Amino acid sequence: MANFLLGRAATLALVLFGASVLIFLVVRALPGDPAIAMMTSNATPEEIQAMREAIGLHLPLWQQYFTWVGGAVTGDLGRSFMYSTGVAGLIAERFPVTLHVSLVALAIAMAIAIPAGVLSARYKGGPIDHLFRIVAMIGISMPVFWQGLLSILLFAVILGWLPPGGYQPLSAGIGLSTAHIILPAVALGTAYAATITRMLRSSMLDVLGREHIAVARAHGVPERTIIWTDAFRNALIPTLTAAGFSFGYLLAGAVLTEVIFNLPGMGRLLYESILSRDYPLVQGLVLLNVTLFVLINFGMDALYAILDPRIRR
Amino acid sequence: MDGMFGRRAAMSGLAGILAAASLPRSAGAQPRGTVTASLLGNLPNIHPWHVGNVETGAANLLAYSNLLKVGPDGTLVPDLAVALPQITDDGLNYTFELRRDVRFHNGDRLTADDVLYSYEQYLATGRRRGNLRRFISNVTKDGDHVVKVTLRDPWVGWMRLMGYEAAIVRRGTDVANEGATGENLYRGSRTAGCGPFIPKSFQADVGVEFEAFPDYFGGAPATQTIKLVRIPDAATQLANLRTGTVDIISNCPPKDFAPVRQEPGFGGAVRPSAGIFYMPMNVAKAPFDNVHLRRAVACAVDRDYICEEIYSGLVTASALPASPNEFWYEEDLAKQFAYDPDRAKFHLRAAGMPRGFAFEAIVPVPSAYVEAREAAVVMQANLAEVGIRMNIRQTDFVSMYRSAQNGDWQAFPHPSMQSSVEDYLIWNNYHKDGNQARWMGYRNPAYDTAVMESFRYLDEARKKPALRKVSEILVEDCPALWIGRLNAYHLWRADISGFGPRYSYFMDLTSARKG
Repeated sequence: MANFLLGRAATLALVLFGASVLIFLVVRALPGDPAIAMMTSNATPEEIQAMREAIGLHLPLWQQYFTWVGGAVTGDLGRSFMYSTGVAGLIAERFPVTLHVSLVALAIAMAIAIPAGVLSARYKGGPIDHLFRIVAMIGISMPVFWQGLLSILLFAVILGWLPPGGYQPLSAGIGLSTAHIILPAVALGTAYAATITRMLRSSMLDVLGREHIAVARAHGVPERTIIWTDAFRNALIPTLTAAGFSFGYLLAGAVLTEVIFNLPGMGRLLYESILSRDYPLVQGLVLLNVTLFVLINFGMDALYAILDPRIRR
Repeated sequence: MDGMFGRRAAMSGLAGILAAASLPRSAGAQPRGTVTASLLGNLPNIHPWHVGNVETGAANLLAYSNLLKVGPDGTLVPDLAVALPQITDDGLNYTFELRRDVRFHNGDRLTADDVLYSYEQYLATGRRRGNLRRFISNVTKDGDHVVKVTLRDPWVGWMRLMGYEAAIVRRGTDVANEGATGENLYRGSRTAGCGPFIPKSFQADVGVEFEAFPDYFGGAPATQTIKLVRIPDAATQLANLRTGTVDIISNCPPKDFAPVRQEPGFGGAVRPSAGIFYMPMNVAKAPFDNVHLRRAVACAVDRDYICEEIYSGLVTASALPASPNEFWYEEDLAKQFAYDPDRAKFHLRAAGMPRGFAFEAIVPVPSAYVEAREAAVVMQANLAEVGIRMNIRQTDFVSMYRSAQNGDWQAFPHPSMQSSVEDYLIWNNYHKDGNQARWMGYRNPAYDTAVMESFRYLDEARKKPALRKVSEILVEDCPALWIGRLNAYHLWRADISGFGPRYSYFMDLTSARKG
């Protein structure tokens, strides 16, 4: 097991290094000049050049890269051009918001997807299956922003039960915090629930069609045990993959959801940073996203190994 | 970004449903003594000298003061100065007498040294210092309460820029560093300003909170706490206004403004502003190096339709830089660019292109510019009627400015907020020394002379002959298609008073109160 994990970790380190080079180059390939973004259209060419020097863009690319990577390995992601403050500090302000929303959204997604996927598979072709498939199709098809707007209209404007947006941390009180986060989490969670439901249904059907399930049924093993112990556990591997990737996407930030619900999360920060060509901030955010994906992948690999010992070999 | 287009359209539809369906509710109502206003654009910092948009400008007005300020209707009024300055006949020397009752937020009294320090530092480090540096020769003092500003060339418009961008800070304030001396202008200093409110907390792109400064020289503010929160979507701002989470919103989709304003429980107002919706054309490059083609475009676009149907009347149609309600608007000149497809065809024939031509228009994509994109589509249809093909290229502002700086552009239809159209835009865009004129490619010595003549005077009657000349030359040369002048408009809940839109478009919350 240890060798398996060490091998995976070494691969991931290589992936991170490659990603850092790619991120650095792609960000600089974006059309536009950060100095112009900072100075607006009214600046003289001399002022723009002075700004380029002030933010280090006059240095050779390799020097800029090693300065950035050298800082990144010590936790210093540089200084944001637009916000005039440290990138790490900005991310530290925003990440808890995104993490909070993502965890609640994932919990909602799993709470919906697991029973829906299992029941849909168990009663394949029946009314329950059709109902869940239709609901899942709607969940996948309906844009999150539309669902978000409808929920704001209903629960905030018409009923007045919940605030229309904004964020309150858990430290402000669990009730207040939950009231602010529930609408965006539901909007995001239901969208991902639809994907995970379909994945789980498909995996369950695959497992339920195997020989060992037929043998178990022939031996009189109760259907509940077959579904939840034999089939569900085996169907979890692809489902966990889907859930893991969903979590990764959630952590990367959902721009539209954050805009609609006025959540100061990572997605909105990334969007703003791209618009203003804030290289250090874009690099820092994308590197963090890549790192999170890599770590989630690593976690998924470890989980697979626990769930299915054959994978370790 | 196509998705954003659809999203905003959907939001407008929803907002219409809201307008018909509900009264204001009080789910998240703020306590008395606090006024919360929402901002649409980014709030990256609140450094008073790095005003990059109207949002940072709103924060600046709360915490800082200047020698003069721009009043709601665009006129200059004294702020830290006792009165408007004495100006010498040559238009080069300005003398300001300072109030003697001004204290900074840390209790220090304002003196001429603070003004000198601020100007010296601003001209060295301010983000948009280029325009003031072009004109200001030096700033000196005469005693503790008299400041003299000497210009290189006459330009009364510098006082409008000063009012927005070059706030006075306490001498010795660390204007460049972040926290090195315990001060941080980017995130809000509690000791640097002398405005009616003191920054209390700031979170980039999220919001800023101010508390009243009881020793403000204009009298203690009526409201204890002002909160500016960023809500980056106009329709969501409206939802927050309806629920009472915010008291004032900076923007809403134009189509929603009039219906919501008329609903019980809400207030709102419109005021002519210094903003302009126009399409500069690259006169240094084909096809717009041909004046007849520029005129053909100017005559082929139906401004009234764009202003009334796309902007719901919140842009005032004008074929000139001046608005019909401004003293320097010239009706006879405007008629030359009235919507007239036959006249457009005449100019096409005069250019030797009777069957039309094609050009590319760079259109901004950020969601706050949805109407600009819709207006571009209308222009495209108008122009097609006379055989002109306008190809739309959507891009963000940074790419757009990059193209402009490189000369890689032909036309650029967009709304633009300015501190003053007559004193600023006509210089910056078309005068040989204007920063934007460098990429506009427009040069006309007669125009430069007329502009500098108009800059000599503050008095409208004395300015008007020179501005008439300016307008005549602009109509003759047609370096841009002027579509209309933006109006500033805001919505608020009915229990808000002491607040209204301003010529500058910046939200001025200094006198806003609730209840």
